[in-house]
Amino acid sequence: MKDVKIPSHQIDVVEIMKKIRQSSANNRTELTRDDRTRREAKSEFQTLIQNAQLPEPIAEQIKQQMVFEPYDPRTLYVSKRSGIGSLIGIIRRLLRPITKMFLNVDPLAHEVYRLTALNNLYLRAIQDLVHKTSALQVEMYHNRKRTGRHRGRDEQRYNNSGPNHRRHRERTHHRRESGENRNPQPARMNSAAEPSAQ
Amino acid sequence: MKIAFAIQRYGLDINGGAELHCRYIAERLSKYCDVEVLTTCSRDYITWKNAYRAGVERINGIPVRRFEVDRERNPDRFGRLQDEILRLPHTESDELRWMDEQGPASTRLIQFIKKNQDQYQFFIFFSYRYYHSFHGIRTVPHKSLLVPTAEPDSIIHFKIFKGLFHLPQGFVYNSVEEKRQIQCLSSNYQVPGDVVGVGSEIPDVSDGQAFRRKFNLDGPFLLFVGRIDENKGCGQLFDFFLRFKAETDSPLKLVLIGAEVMKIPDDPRIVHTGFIGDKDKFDALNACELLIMPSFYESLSMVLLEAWGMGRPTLANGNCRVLMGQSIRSNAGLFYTNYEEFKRSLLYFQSNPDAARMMGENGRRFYRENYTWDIIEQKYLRLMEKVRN
Repeated sequence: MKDVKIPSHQIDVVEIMKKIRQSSANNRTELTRDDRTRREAKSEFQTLIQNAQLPEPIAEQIKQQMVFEPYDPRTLYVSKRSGIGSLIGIIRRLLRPITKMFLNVDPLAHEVYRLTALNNLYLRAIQDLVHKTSALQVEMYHNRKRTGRHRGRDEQRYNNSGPNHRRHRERTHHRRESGENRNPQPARMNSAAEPSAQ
Repeated sequence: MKIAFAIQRYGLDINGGAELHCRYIAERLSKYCDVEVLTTCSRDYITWKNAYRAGVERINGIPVRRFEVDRERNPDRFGRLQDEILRLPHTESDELRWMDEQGPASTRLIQFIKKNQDQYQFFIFFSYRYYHSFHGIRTVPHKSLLVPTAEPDSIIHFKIFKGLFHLPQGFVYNSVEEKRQIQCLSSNYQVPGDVVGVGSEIPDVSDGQAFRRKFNLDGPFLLFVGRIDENKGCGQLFDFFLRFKAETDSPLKLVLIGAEVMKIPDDPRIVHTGFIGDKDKFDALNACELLIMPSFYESLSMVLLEAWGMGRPTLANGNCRVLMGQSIRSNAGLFYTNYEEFKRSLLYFQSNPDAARMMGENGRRFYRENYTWDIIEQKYLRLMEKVRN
């Protein structure tokens, strides 16, 4: 197979996707940071579940349910059969000492209870971590955007200024770099670059 | 020249990707050489229960030699073991135990290969991860070709496969991404290989209206073809589609073709046709606006190629490198990695019908240049010639 793109009628899916991603990124800034964080976190969490390749019912449960019901060890002796369920429950409870002579499942039931509680803790911790990671990503995105905007603005001012201004600015910058500051007044260019368009 | 194809299951009623791929290739190459298929008696890929009779039968003119599996797979035990191996540090012997548990373990098949290796010039093994390939290639490495059908999952990182990928005399890859992945993992750059993939029987004529009438469909629709399964990304597709419908006034419906493995949301805008024949499938491709492929893991999507063969644009999950790579190389489809991109890609297709049509044309051209049967057959023959010399 040729590993090259077929020249076609001015269609370039990479370019289209770039534009789609750009417009999608612009749209995201219109959302509040909280909304965006929530949305990112949900998407991240779903990807995490997807990548874990869990059996579908469990994946669905994790998606739907925030916390699993702690396992109740008493359910070992309960029967949900209609009609004779309560009778079976009584018989099981009565026979419990005899069953215990052969096999004691009580520690196992308590261990399952403990594990359910721990699993709930882990699930919450994972959700919390995903949320915090998403919040950091959103924060980074905003910071990067702000830095980019500042850099762009400064560069534009620098380019728009005349050669005299530029020379003055370069001299001032050079002095500052070398620890020299003969002029205690801030340079005009720098004072003009105070954040006015925040 | 006599060649043998070795595959985990084989039959007209088996529609798994690799199995169908193997059957198509075996039938096509039978024009040029004597072809035989070596496989198990299994039909079910969960338990590998012996369902077909052992012995030789002919399927579409190809002799198929079946061998019983030694034991069925215990899905629970296998699931527990796999889970343990994927999560915890483990040794190669654990991985070998995983291989035995996974199956389909047929020592008779491997013994047959060992005893009768002189009868065949090549053994073409399909699917690197199964018992027949792992032990078969180690039995006849000097006559083996491997069609790995590898997905970028955790299994491919097992240590036992690193050595295996150095043994065959040649590789038939499904995609450029698959080739890169296997070469990066095992450094088997010295083993010759070609990116080939698989062709399809694209009909000259198809009737989109017939499909619409049959399933009582009107208006534009997205099409999904395949197993409706969480592992195929369908859960995310349903979430995204319903959210898209809630946020926009798009008339698009979602039509699903394939067996239902997960619950489909009860919504009138999602239509499930069940499993249908090839004619209906191509009619559906003719009728749809675009094909959607939400899977996270694919080594090659045959239905994506079929959509392109039919001149339809596609929208694929960009988290799957293979799907994204194919879409970029063909210049015939968009790809999304999150909901916003999904939504905007669909809106792009809706508001730019000319661009969608041109993408479809690109797809058709890409299919004709790379995936017609003549090209596929010649690539196989060339690789065998190269290995023989």
